[in-house]
Amino acid sequence: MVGLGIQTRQQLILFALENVAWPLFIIIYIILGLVRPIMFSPTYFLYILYLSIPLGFTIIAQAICLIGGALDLSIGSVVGFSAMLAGLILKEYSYVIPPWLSLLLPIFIGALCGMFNGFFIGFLRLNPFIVTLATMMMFQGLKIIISGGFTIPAGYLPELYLLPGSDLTISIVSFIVISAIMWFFLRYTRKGIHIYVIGGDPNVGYMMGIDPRSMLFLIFTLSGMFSGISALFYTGFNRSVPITLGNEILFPSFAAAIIGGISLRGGRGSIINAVGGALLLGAIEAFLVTFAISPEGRIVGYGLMVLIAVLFNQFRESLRDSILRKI
Amino acid sequence: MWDSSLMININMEPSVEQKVENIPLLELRDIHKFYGKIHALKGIDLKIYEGEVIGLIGDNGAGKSTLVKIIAGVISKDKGEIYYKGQKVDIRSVKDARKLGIETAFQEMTLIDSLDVGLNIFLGRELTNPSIPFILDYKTMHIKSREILSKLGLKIAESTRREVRFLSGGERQGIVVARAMLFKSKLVILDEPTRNLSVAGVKMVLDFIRDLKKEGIACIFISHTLHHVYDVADRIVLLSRGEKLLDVPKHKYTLEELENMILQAAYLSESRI
Repeated sequence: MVGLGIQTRQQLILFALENVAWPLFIIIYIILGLVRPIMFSPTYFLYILYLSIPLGFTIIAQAICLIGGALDLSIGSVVGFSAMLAGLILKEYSYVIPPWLSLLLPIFIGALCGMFNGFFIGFLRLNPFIVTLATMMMFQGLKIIISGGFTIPAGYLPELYLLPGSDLTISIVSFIVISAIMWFFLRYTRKGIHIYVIGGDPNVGYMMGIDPRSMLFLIFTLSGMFSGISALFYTGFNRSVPITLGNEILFPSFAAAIIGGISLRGGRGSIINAVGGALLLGAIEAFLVTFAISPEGRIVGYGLMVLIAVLFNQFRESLRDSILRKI
Repeated sequence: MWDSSLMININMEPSVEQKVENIPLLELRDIHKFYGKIHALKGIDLKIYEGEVIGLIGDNGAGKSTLVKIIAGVISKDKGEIYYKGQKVDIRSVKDARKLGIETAFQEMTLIDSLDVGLNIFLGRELTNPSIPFILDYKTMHIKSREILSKLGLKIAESTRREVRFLSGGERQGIVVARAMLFKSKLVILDEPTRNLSVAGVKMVLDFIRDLKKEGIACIFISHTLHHVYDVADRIVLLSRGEKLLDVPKHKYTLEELENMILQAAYLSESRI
């Protein structure tokens, strides 16, 4: 009886450690709410969810790369570039493109950007850090060049194109559905599990008949796709494509994925927890908005948050290992 | 004690059981491999007949694992030909090798630490649900893993949901052998399968090889020393520095004679350098 008690307690602790982003989200949310009671209002809570969604898609993108043992520095730039290019195409040609197809345009552009990364990383076997550092700069520059220095205002974009990001309900529902699909893909399909295998050890994968080259290509294509989805939701959220779009995405995408328990060592982590990390980050950001914090201060904050997240995750993993070893 | 006439028989004779079937299951001809300037395999010829157990022995760096990886499709040969049942084949990937029925348990213990025992056994060949084709069938994978592991007498059969990084060296080796056991079809290659294993574990591997033989499945059993392979092998092949020094049917010689032949062959190759 006592033994069983200890065992179930261990199971509970393990469960909490594995899905730590969610309890952490709840605890921190309550603490923040005690300081700023407005956070307990349901409207404000929904607003926080809504606020987290465009960033949330980039966190899924980053999580896929991290699980696959790589990392993607170009995510923010790809979001900005695909939002800008899709916006410009729609501004000029919206009368020839069917509105429903316009929704797929930024996703398609994002996927192409991801394939570009994936080609160099997968098939030419270049280091993901260097490749995505290079493309981060390229897409950032390209975004500004094609924009001509101007923001694309809402009036030029089809209303349906703006709808997913501007409507709270559609935003939240699509985010839940899309992240559930992604979670299912990673856990319950062969290609999904192979992403974990490649992240765990690409050589073992290769010797067991899983080609790391095409898997890395897939990983970065998916990352690009999710950056494209994020671009669609950012555009709707802002009801415009500002020239600064995507500039402040990279660091939070890392921080949230790591808080969500996605290991930097690769091959570990779950999308559900990355989503928990996204909400946690959204809550902290919404909290900070209630104070007058300068943009510079927020950048310092993001940097700090990445550091804290990495430390925290290391502690969490060693704690989890020490329990699992004993079982 | 050393009889030089023995050398004449080398490379000549398939073992007794295979005399009827003259076409080998797998035949390697003049296989070469270079790693930069290092000539890792210097023209290896090898015939493997159905149901035959080859004991492939040699020191570290002899080229055993390189040869195995060429057969398994992990690395490519620089020169030479491979014939499968008399047909010339090109094994370019692990998948090609699997299509020919070649199953390999690599020395590197190809396991993913962060995945559980069940998934590791089915790595790269995960089972999917028969009614919903693209969805993984975890239940069946765990049931089959449990079956095969308990057949091998391994305690981890009880915990196929454990991540493999928490397992001991012997248990990890057990998973690799279990995998070969599950997917065996025509030829099973076991690269140092007895490493890290207890006495009971070694016995289990040897029993497994005997079972393969009964089922007519060929096996290449790789080890550092003759003693490990002597009991089960039909033929002993000795590699040294990328060359085949010895290829003899076991039944003709005693363990002592074989040991002497190995020493002699090694001595001859040393003196040439």
